[in-house]
Amino acid sequence: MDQSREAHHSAGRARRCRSKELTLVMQQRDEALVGDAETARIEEQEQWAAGGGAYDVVEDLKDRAVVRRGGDTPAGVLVGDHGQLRGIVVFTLDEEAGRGAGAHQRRQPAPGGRLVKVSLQIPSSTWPSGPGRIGATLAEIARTAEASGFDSLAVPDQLWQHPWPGRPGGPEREMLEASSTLAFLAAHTSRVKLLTMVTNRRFGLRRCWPRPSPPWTC
Amino acid sequence: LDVLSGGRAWLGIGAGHFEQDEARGLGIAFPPLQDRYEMLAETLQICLRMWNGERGDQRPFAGKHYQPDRPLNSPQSQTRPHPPILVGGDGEQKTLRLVARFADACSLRPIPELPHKLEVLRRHCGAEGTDYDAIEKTCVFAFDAGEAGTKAGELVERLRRLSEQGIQTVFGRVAKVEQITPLEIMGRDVIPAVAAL
Repeated sequence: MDQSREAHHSAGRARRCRSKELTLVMQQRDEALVGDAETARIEEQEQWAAGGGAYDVVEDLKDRAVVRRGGDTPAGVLVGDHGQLRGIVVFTLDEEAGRGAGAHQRRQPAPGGRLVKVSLQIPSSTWPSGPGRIGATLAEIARTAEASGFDSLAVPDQLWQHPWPGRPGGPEREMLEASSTLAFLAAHTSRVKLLTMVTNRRFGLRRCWPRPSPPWTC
Repeated sequence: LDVLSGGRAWLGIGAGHFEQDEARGLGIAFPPLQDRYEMLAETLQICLRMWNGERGDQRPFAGKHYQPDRPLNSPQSQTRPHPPILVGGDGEQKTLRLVARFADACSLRPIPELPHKLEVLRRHCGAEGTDYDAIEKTCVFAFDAGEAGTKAGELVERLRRLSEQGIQTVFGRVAKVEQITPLEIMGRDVIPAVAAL
């Protein structure tokens, strides 16, 4: 933790800082720079920021702030008091700091650059551990996806499984009913949005169409 | 779901395409496409009525396919004015018009015609008098960051190109999601990078 903050101290100057109730959880992104993941209060981050860390708020949504400063370096997430993800933070060293600049070549943001949110589709529950472990596996997927910064979890609204490119599928394979699955996912998460997505199948099957039915013979 | 999850539900809905065999197998009605579009439009209107006011509109709705006498909804959705509506599909004549008319989000595919689809949506918004910019542009995808994140850079680059085309959210499956590690790789190598595009 100290090692990490020390690294940030050498990074530049603070411009702005988000609300103080947020906790900053650093994710390992550049081993030389951050070391292991750490948790630190944002107030402490302000201290290191005053001594050198630099970042900008680029997206200030109602319940989170996404922060960045050009170039590339470690990324972290802002987490609220109850553990919910509040945003993603990407920190960068100033070029004169001499480190990090070439580590991952992230481009400078284009003017009017957009935030792209990444959402997870869970199209099936055919997993090697078998039907008896679907609930436990799904809960772990949900929790990990939330902690990893996915914006939402989407499940198909269908009762028979359809095939996906590169993997076997078909009506005999496991397919969970959507509403109860979403309720289950809701109980295992606190931040992610939840929805059904009926369109994923079209995407996957486009190259197989038209074909004699049933479509999963593709 | 919206109430139980503390306001995290979206309504993702479409006319349906490949359920025919499932419907036949389970004895569920699967009307012709034209009817399904009409039913989708009516469903959206009924949903909006139920999300209206404290407990729904409660006035009779006289549709061709559905005729609820009293669209009552209690408890009301926690998300106000209502959970976001995502209408899936990129059919230019009907689906994208329904998106323009009713939806908060569209769901497109990463195909060469994507910019054209967005242009069609913009035209429909003009005709319907709705705000194109207010509609969230989403796209389906498949995330493959490779074993240990070796393909993360390539994936971020593909997402950047989608972003430049106007896509704001990507919905994708992750191969071997049940092994959990692929999700952690996404969280480490892709999502933070994409958030900073």
